[in-house]
Amino acid sequence: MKRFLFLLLLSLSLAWIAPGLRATPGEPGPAPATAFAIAVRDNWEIKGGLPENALVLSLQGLANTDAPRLYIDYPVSWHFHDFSPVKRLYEETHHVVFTQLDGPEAALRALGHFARGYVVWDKQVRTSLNVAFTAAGIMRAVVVDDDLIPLARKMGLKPLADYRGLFEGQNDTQIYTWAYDHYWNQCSRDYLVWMGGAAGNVMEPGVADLAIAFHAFVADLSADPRLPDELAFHKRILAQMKPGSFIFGWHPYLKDTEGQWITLTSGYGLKVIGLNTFPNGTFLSQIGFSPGFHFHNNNHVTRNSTLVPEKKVYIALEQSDAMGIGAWIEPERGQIPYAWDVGIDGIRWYPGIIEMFSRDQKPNDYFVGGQSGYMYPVAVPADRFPGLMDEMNRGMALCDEHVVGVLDHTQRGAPVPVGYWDLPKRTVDEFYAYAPGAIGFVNGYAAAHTYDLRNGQAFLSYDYYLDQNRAVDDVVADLNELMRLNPKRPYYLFIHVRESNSIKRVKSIIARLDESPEVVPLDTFLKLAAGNKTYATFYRNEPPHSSLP
Amino acid sequence: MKIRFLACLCLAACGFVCAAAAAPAGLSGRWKLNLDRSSAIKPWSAETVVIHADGDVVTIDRRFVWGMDRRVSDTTSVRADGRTVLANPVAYWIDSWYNNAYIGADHLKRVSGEWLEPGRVLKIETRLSLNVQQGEFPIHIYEEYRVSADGRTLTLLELRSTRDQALTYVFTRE
Repeated sequence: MKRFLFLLLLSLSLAWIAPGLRATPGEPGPAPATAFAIAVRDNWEIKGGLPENALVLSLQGLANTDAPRLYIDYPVSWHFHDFSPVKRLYEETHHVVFTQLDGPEAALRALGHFARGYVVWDKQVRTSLNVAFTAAGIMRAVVVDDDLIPLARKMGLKPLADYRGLFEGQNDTQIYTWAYDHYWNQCSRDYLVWMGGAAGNVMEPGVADLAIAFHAFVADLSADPRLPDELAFHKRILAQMKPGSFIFGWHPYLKDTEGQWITLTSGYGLKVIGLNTFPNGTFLSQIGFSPGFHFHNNNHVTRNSTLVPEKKVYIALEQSDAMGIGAWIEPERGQIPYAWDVGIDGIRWYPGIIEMFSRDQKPNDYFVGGQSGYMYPVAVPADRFPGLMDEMNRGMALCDEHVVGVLDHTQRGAPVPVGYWDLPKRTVDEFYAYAPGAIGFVNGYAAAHTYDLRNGQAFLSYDYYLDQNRAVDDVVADLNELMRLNPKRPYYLFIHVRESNSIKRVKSIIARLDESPEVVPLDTFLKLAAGNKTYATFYRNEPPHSSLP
Repeated sequence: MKIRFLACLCLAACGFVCAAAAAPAGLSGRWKLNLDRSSAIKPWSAETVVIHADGDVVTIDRRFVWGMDRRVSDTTSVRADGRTVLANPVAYWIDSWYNNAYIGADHLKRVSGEWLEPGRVLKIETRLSLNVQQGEFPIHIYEEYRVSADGRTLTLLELRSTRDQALTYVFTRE
């Protein structure tokens, strides 16, 4: 009997302490009947609201490790503020009943039992908070500064680690090396968290919950060769991640550039889900679509369709900033064919957001797929490419998406912004090899020049970058000039509609163009382009055996 | 008599110097683009043009800056005699961010020039090939560099054979 009780206690203890609370974020399921919600402070300064917010975020990571229990209400100033209405979607269509918590103490009262203790970070050493997030995931702890220790104690939590004074005078490489030596063995090889973005006296750790739920190593090491120690350590970490791993977060703006960082991470075949401000990842990613909702695309052609274009100018419009920053909610949406970037990762990591935006999809809205997140295909090693494409194909099938969007920025450091959005032939070959079922491919960000046609799949680039600040007269002149520079008909004029360009403005531009071009859906556009190749095959020149930074 | 003569000489010399200082300077010099009064040069955030004119021999150096650390320049040599065509190498077609026109395969532009008003108004005609979606396409560019009457402002008017809208760039002498 004694032995039985001992075993029972042991198993209960193991169940309690086991890091076997392995995360399910990233595996959407049914919505909970109830959940808690808490507002964080609209202040992310170390000596302001950050300590309380960090505590709440760490608690969210613990509480949501195996179920969506805590939702954070971010202030309207938060970068992803357009995600905020999803809470209403959960209430209205998933029927989740939220209980609002009034501050950290209430949160600890309601959910503190998910914590085994607390880890103290050092407000004098900003980086110590990232170490604390790493430790919090492994030790199942909330993070507190010295001012919040009394609260943690009051809630019955015990100290598990204390970094006050420990890292004084050390640089980031030294601090992260210490964290590596102490925690790396217990950290995930599937997820990393890069807590970059803001710097100095501010940190916006929106992805800390994911870090804690995933037991991820948290850092903000530089990718800039001018910081060789940090870069070397950065590479050491990346090299140990499994194929197909994700990095959540963003690079530190003061230490390196986006191009440097994504080129580096892509060089290990890893994909970044941005940004460091990505909110409620542990909550959003565990709730699938509401009952009865199906994500579908407005397809106009199939892979095997054959279209015969007329001798005219065809235009396709793609809005890559998509739904998040305004154009989606304009009354003019639906009046002309528009393609919208909806990356495959949304279905997995924030299906509620995808549902929220696409519920009022119009027949003229067409969704473009591709490897979403931040990943530059030119930098991806050849042995990692097939796996990423396999993931892309599976994701696109789930999303009913059939056009592959491609964006590469490995040449971002080039002094002259000409041609660096183009792809070398080897990368185009890889897309053709690993996405044989796609209707076609579209490439670029700013205008680019990579064109090809194989097996009925057109590979086109943006001919034009429609800047929101460029005057309408100038845009009209630019587009008419492109039509002169490309005199053969059909001419396929693919336009990247950027940022907050309104659909009304875009319509007014097109109405003033010479030759009355026809605006067609992107899948139709690609099949028309496959029907009569008036474009010259072109790739970026790449020296043989070139190596990427 | 001698003193009076010397005084007159000094006065004349001063007058000459003052007159020379007041005379409008010509095209030569260093000019900074006024972004507010000019057609867009995105992604460049600044442009400086250094012009050296010695009779009919003119060189135009364009220097662009983008952000903190990206700089690029190009040089155009012109013989402003109304006849001579000089082939100038072109590394990049840096005049467009919005569309995908690249410099043609030969990486050359053929340039001729003529003083419409010596030292003040220079006409330049350029022929080059651009590489676009459908391949190579020849274009002609007409440019006029005009220095204002006070010599402080340079206006560059540019007309391309493929574009109905003229481009205007206004520079201030540095």
